[in-house]
Formats: sequence, structure tokens, C-alpha cells
Amino acid sequence: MNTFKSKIALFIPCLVDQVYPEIGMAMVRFLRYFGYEVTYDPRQTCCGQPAFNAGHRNEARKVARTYIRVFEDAEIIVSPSGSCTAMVRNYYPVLFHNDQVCETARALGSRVLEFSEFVHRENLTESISGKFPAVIGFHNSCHSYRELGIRELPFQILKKIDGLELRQPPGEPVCCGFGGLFSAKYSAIAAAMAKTRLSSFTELGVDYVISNDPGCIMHMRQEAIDRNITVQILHLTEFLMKAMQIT
Amino acid sequence: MSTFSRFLRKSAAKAEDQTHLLKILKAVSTHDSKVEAMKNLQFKDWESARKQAATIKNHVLENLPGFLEQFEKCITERGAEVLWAGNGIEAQNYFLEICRRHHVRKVIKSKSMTTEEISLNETIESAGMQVWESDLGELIVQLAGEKPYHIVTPAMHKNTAEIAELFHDKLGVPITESAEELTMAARTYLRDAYVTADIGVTGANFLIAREGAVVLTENEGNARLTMSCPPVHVVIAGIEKILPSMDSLPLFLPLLATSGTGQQITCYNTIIRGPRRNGEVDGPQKLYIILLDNGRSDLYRKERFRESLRCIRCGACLNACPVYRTIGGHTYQTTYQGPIGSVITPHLKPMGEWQHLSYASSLCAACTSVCPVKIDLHTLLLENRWEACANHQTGMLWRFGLKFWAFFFSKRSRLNFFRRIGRIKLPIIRPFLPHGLRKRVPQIPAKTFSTLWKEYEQS
Amino acid sequence: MSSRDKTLNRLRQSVQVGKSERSVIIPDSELYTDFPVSTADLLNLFSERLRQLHGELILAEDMSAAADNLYETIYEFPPNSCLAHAPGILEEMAKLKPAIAGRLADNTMLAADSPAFARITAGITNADYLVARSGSIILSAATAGGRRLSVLPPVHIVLAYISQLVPSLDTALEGLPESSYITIITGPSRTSDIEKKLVLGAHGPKRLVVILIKNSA
Repeated sequence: MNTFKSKIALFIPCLVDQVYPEIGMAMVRFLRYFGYEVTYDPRQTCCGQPAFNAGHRNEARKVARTYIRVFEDAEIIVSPSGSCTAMVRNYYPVLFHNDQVCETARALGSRVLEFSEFVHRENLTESISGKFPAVIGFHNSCHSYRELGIRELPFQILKKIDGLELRQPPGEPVCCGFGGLFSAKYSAIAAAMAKTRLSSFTELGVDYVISNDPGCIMHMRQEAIDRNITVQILHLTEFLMKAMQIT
Repeated sequence: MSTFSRFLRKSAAKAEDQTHLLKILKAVSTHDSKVEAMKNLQFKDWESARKQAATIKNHVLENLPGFLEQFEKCITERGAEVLWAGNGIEAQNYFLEICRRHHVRKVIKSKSMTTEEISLNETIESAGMQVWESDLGELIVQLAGEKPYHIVTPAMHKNTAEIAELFHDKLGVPITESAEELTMAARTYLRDAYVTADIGVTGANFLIAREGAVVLTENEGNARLTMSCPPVHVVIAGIEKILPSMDSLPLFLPLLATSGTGQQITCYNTIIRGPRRNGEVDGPQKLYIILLDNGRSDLYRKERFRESLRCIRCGACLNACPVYRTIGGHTYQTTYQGPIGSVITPHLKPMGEWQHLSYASSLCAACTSVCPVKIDLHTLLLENRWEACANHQTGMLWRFGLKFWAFFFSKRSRLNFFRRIGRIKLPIIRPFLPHGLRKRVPQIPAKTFSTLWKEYEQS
Repeated sequence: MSSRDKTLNRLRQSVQVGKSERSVIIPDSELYTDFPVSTADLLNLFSERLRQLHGELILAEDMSAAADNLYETIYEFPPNSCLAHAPGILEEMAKLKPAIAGRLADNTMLAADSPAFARITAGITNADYLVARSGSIILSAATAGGRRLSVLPPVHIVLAYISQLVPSLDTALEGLPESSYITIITGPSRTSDIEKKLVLGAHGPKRLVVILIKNSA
């Protein structure tokens, strides 16, 4: 518990900052609840993933350099996004290969943690408790599952909430179709993928779909609105605020 | 209409086609559970098996020229004739020359994606000969005048009723709901073709270097018949199909079957070592092997992409891909579909025209996780995007748009400014956005996290 | 420059990733579960697998019983519609049950043209190996009277000894006979191309019958 001398540096993805700030605030409240001091550097903008995945590495580097400047001295960085964490940890070394900031970029990898990774690292799971009678499903984002290897951590966290009934579609998690700019370029395909993924939950009768990636959340929420699907889609941190009754 | 526009149009249509989506989902989900079960049932450690297969294939690729020469020498010594085709046209020409030499009028074929690649059927028919597809799935799409939908199960998109209708129209078979009756109808229809064809054409699943052999894997028996009855046998195989020696087969045959169809091993695995030998009572008198390059050596030279040549054409990546499951095989408009097709097509054909396939992916990495030879498919898709960008082939809108984006997103003060403008402009332009984009852009809240944080700190 | 040279040159000019060692082949006993060890295991596993594949297995105590089994199996087919090439086993069976010879077509049919050959109902062959793990039969054109006998007729009958059982494919591949054609048969012919519904007898034999003779002491 609370192994850090300095404050936890918040890594607020651009999507959270601009569209879903409440996800960021939920994470702040969670960390404060467990006695962590948190800090937010307002100079941060984005990790650069949209340009990187679009093949435009120069533009990605431009934005990522800002990120590196902002976070290079942080002891520990926590983010509510698996895909953004994966970008920094797995792909910054690739992006900055042969660049002067290569070592700094690489070193960031071990200091940036996705939210559930942080909870696990700090042994907070044991101390989580709450009550929330509901039927839920968990959508593990592809980046969390395959890039970061996060398999069980979110489920271990959710198990600590009494009254929850977890219903999961069988097999491996299937992509919701966000994929960053993919959903803009191929919006019809992306929408169909969101519908398929949401249906795989709703046909199980869930009230909530919880996820650990703001991109997936945005994409699925838009699809739910568009097709009048009544299921609540929340980030893990938002859900924990409700279940643990943290204000 | 450009290839990209056609793709966009077709994919959007398929994405909204509920019947199609349900069909594919049904086919894929039965398949998925079979495959997963067999991985655990048969292999002590599937991951180790994959690693071993990848290592063997890597070794092959590192020594490909030597292995190809060894294969050629060994199988030539046993009476086969090996021909090297630089591209599809050359392969077609070799084939036509062989047909002329042997006075061919009727061709029987077993399923081969390489023959699709070189448009062999069209070549045969243009030259005034007849061709029969003997694989049931291929026969179905041939009768329907369509291209294969999937590299392993070509008629995955057709249900029993549609096939019954097709067989009734083209073969005069009475309408039936029974898959058995339809299959038996195909069997009867093709019997005559097998026994009267002048030439049999197959692909190859593997080419064995050390012992000089061609390996074919199938369930129906149509390939065996194609290699047994006609007096001439032609194999058309990509140069990357090499395995070092027969002792790789006890790994690769079950690996291919498990990944491809969830079987322990396919029904028939046949090893051809040459034409009929002295003392053998039947079999083709002549065996020709056309080794097809057609862009493979170019792909080979791009070191980063070379691993895509490990592919054993099992189709697992297609089945795992949520995009493939949404749009189906025909939408790709290429011989090789799904993730592997999207990786290799822009190298075998012009990048500028085909790079859009590499963008038609959310990079979810499901493909990489199922590939039995551990090709890093999703990373190769990303590398294709990098190459397209470096060649300035990603389009003005993207290039300009992302430069614009990078400008505003690399400095906080610029981002704040952009947001202020954006929030004012967005409600104005929202009704004019294309429907797809309008749906996807959510309501932008009044305050950013930055603002909320400031307020939180002060309280 | 020929296409052959162009291709080989292009391959050779590329930078090699690095000369890796030829990887050690992992034996089947380490790769696969269900690796049979004892003779009893071999037979049990082979029987189980063959039956799962909808193949028919007839276990004969000795050659005489096997001869009876063969006769019973082919009796239902029209006379002269069964063609056999199973030197050794068949001779012995014919001695023990002469009626068998009367049901068989003339051996010269083996070299007949394919339209004539297509009238054969059942092909009877030896095997080179039986593979326990997969329930497979390995045969070659040299052993099995050519390529067509085991695939063109709708019924394929295999005559084999239990001693021909091997645990897995790797053992069999070490001792393959000299032949232009070797095939590993795992069950009767099948397809699932129509809505994933399993149908037997797509193009190859619909019935695969294995008469397995316990070797005499």
C-alpha cells in the first residue's frame, strides 16, 4: 500500500480530458480514497496513438515528445486507459527507435500503469468492498487483453463487490470496433462490430457493461444511443464510485 | 470507381446485412469451439507447438533458395518436371503449353488458392477447354459464378436452401433440404469428370525439400482422385510452401488441421514423390510442378514482412477477425482475404491501390493470437500503414488532417484554443456531417478534465 | 535470365536475418497428449479413433476368422465388383476360404482405364502402417495396388495385422516404402462445406472397413 514517495501522476487520455472528464475524476476520487496523493500536469495532451496507428509516425512523435517532456520525471503514472498505456509501454520504444529520447521513452514503460494494474500492484484489491446488486458484463479492451496481457485483474476487482452477478460471453473478448481512426474511416463496419459486441452482452441480460478503455466506452455508448439499446456502459472507475459509494 | 471506394461501399452494405451477419456468426462460432477444443485435446502445449512451427518456418525462409534447389533436384530425379514461373502470366503460359502437349480438353481441379491467384479457370476456358472444380465448396462457387468466400471453406456464405436452388438450376438436382443428398449429387456429377479428365491440377500444402515431395491435405478425397485418375498431374505452388523434410509433417499436419478446421488431422494427407514409378499399376505418367513467384520474392526482400511467408493458409486469422466476420470474404476483392490477405496483398499488388485493406482493421490482434506459425499479423498491418504513409499514399485528407491534429495536440495552449473553437463550431457543422460521423461524435461537455481538476483542487 | 534464376537471385540478394540452427525436431511423444505406450493401448486408441471417425473396425482372432469377416463384408456386393490387391494376406485368406476368390474381379482390372475402374464397388488393400493416435491407415501405391483402388470405389477394405500398429505419425514416416504416392487415410471421406453439416462419402470412399488380424502366436 502506498509505496510511492512522490504523488501519483495522472495520465488523462485526450478522450477523457475532452469528452469524458468524469472518468478521470472517478479515478482521482478512487486514489484519494485509498490515501494516495495525486498530481495532474495540465501540459499533457495526448499519447500520440491516433496518428501512430494511422501510419503517420512523424505526427505521432510530435505529440508524443510533449508527453515525454511532461512525464519524464514522474515516479509513477496511472491511466484509466489500456490502449494509451500500451502505446507508451509497448510502442514508444518503437516510435522513438534511434531517436535521442529513445532511452527516456523506453524507461517510461515500466512507470506507466493502467488502472487495474495499479490496483493490483498496490494490493488494493483486498481492501475494495461495496454492494451493488446488478447483472454486469465486463468488456476487456483488446489492447488491455492482448497488448498489456491484462486478463484477470479487472475481474478480481469486480468480485469484491457484493451482489454483482457477472455474465460473460463465451470465449475470448471480441473487439468492439473502435480502433481509433478505424471507426471514423470505416464507420459502417465499426458500428456493426459495436452492435455485435453489445448484443453478446445484452442477450445475456446484463444491466451494465463495464470497460477499462474510454475509446471502447465512447464507441459502444454511441451505438447504444443510435440503436436505442438500454444498457448502461461505464468505466471501471465510474462503476467503483457507485459500488463503493465514494463521493 | 477506385478499389478503395468499391471496398468502402461493399463493406458498408455487408455491415448492414443482418442475414449475412447471422450466417457468418453461426459458421464461425461452431468452428471456434471446435478449434479451441482440439488445441487443448491434442496438444500438450499449443504455445510450444506454435513456437516450434514458427522456428521451422523461419529456418526455411532463411535458407529458401537452397531448399528450393534441393526440392527441385530431388523430385526431378524421381521423374517430375519443375518449372519456375516469375508471375501469373508465365504460370498460365506453362500450363497452356502442357495442355497443348498432352492434347487436353478436360481439366479436373482440386481446391487451390494459387490457381485462383493466377486466374487459371479463366485461362482454361478462354483457351477453349473445360474445367471442373472438384472440391464441393469450390464447385458451389463455380456453379454460382462467384469467387471463393474463404480460403478454406469457399462456400461458407451459402446456406443449404441456396445450394439446393443452385444445384437444381445448374445440375437438375431435385430440391432437397438434405446436405447429404446435395453432396451425393455433387459426387455423382463429378464422377465422370474424374475418370475422363485429361489432366488433374492441384495446389500444394507443403513442398518437402530433402525427400522431394508434394504434400496435399484434404477431407473429401477429390484431390486424391485428381492425382490418381488423369494421365497428367500439374501442381501449382507458391515458393514459400517449403518444409525442410518429411519429419516436419508430424507437427505441421495436425497443426494445420487443428487451426484450420478443429480436426485432429484431416481425412487424407497425401505425399506425392513423382509420377507413376516402374511397377506401379496406375497414376499419372507425367508430373509437372510449377513453382510460382508472383511477388513472393519481392515480399521476401522486405525483411520486416518476410515472416508473412510462413503462412500455411489455415484460415484461422480469417475466422478470428471481427472485421472479416462483419464484411465476409468477397468484400476484400482479393484472392487472399482477412488479415493475411490484408498484410500481403499491398506487396503482391500496388501498395497505393491496396493499402486500404491494412486500414480496415481495429488492430485488435486476434489474428496474431491465433496464427499457428506466430506471424505478427497486426503489427504487419501497422507496418503497411507506415509504408503507405512514407510513400505519401494515404491521401490528402489524412495527411493534412493529421498534420493539423498534431499541431493542436502537441501543445496544451493550442489544444485549449482548438477546443474553444470546436465547441462553438461543432453544433453548427454537426447537421452537415455525414451520417456515420454525426452518429459517432458524442456530445462535448462544457468542461475538460483540466478545468474540473482545477475546481477540485480549489475546493 | 530465366525466371528460375531471377527468383533465386532475388532471394539470395536479400539480407539474411541470421543463420539459425536447424531446429531440433520434437518427437510426437512430447508434443501430443494421448501418446499410447503398450500394445493394448495402441489397439484401444486406434479402435476408439477409427470408430469416432465413423470407420468400421473388425477385430479377427486369427487369419481364418479374418477370412470369414472379409467374405461376409463383400458378400453383399455384386460379384466381380470387388477388386483386391493385398499380396500375402489375401493369398492366405483365399486358401482358408476359397469362396472369396469367386467374389473378386480379375486383377487385370487394376490397370483398367478409369471409366471401367469406376464400376468397382469395393477396393481391398493392405496397409503399410496403422497409426494409433489418429486412427489412421498409411498406404502407398506400391503396397495398395496403385492410387485408385483405395479412393475411387465407394467402399475401401483394409486388411492389416495388429503388429502394424505404430503410436504416432513420426514412427511411420521414418519407414516409408519407395513409392510415388503415399497417403494417410483418417476415416471415410467427408465434407462440412454445406452449413458445417457433416456428410460422409463426399468423393472418396463412404465406407472404410478395417479388418485387423491379431497376429498368430
